[in-house]
Amino acid sequence: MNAFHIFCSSPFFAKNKGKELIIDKTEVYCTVLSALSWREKNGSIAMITDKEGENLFTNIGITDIWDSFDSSLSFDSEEIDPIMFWAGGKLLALQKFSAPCVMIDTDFIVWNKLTFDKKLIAAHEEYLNPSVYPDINTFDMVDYTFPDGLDYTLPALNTAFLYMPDEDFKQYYTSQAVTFMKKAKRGGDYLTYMVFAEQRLLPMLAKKCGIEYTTLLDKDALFLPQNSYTHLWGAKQAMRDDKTERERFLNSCRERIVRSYPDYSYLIDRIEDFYGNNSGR
Amino acid sequence: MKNCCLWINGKKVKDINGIKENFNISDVRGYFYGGRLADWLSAHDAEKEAELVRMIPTGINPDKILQEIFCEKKKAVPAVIYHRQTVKPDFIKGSSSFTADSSFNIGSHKAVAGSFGSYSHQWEFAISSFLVTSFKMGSFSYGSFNLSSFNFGSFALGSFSVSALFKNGSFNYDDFANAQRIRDKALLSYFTSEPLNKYGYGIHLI
Repeated sequence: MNAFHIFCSSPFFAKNKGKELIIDKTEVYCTVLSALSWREKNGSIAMITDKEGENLFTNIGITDIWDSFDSSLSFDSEEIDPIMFWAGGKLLALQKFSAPCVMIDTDFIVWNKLTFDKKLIAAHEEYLNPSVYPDINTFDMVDYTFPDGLDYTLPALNTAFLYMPDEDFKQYYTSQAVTFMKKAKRGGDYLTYMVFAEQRLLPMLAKKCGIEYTTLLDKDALFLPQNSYTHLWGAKQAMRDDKTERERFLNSCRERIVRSYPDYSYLIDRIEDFYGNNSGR
Repeated sequence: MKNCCLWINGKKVKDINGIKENFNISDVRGYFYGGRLADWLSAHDAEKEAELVRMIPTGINPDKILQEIFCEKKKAVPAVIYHRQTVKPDFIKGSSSFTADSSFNIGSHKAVAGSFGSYSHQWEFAISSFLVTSFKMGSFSYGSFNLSSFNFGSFALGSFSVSALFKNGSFNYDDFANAQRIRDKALLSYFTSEPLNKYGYGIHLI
């Protein structure tokens, strides 16, 4: 199955004007493991990014982990607020990448071989916690009507992993999500708008079109032991706050690369050199 | 988009007639803002309409023009405009911090991870049973056992069978306690083996 990672630099530059593009080392190592594990078990994986992302990954020296590299991602910050829609690049990349395909966040790792059929697959459902998924009337939109025929009672779908079997529905979903992003009044909060566009519209539009979907994990068992998927999620922030945990995690990643992907051990030196020579990173 | 069908009003359409017959402004507008509508029309023998779509100026509400292009004889459906005040959730307003210790603040999780609110119930269970704070086995006695005080909704379904705790319809404290001990021990082992699993999942697999 063809999969892709996404890296979009627009949110970084919107928040860090004039600064050099950086990415945390923990995220680089997780990206490496995510790509290598996918290639080992499930097929090819591409990176879809922009020119700045291409320069960053080239400078770090990890472009070998992907089967292909596309740096044509274009995020129009005039049309879409890159701070509100910090993951909007995912939707733009998904629009470009031909279905059937899998979109994987760089902090998500699939450790086993998956089987795919006609059902759309997301990572897991999410409860409609009103602080994360508020009533749609709270959204401050400009000249916008919400699509009709949507079932607002459906749980949202986490798209850290998303298998899209159908090009027609993929185009419909991404078009609706992009429209929502373009018509949201700029300066809104950075969470509720983004997850509505990316994660709540998806199941509602799928139901409207009669598209069946399933999930990798049961939302009620996410934190119970399992051996198939890793999602760093809030651990990225936890590691920024706790240097000891951060170092322990980095060691685990380095050991895993050496143990499971020895042919790519050279990446460790490249990553360490890059970050060693750039102490600010 | 060349070989793609459009979803209009819940139906797959293959050509411009399909758009006209099933016209729905929110769906057509979606393809317009998604940037693919004109190309799709060109690829489906509707160059005239494609040109009209391309001529729609940016920065204006395209609804009326789209309706004129695709449903000449239909009465235009007035759009309901949502223009409400943004409500910022409480957890974003606050300055809650994200702590890495075992007594982390569930509320702050939501702001950091995006949707950790979904899992708070699991942590309420996990924390309470691990730290033996609000969930004290010893405080329950056979006669005063109150199901509602346990909040069974917070247990993960599938891996924890309520019925398994009861024998022949009657409550058996020892079975319940044993099940709890086994479960708590397994979970405690799981989480302590990889503390970061409190913030994501499957991190121990690395």
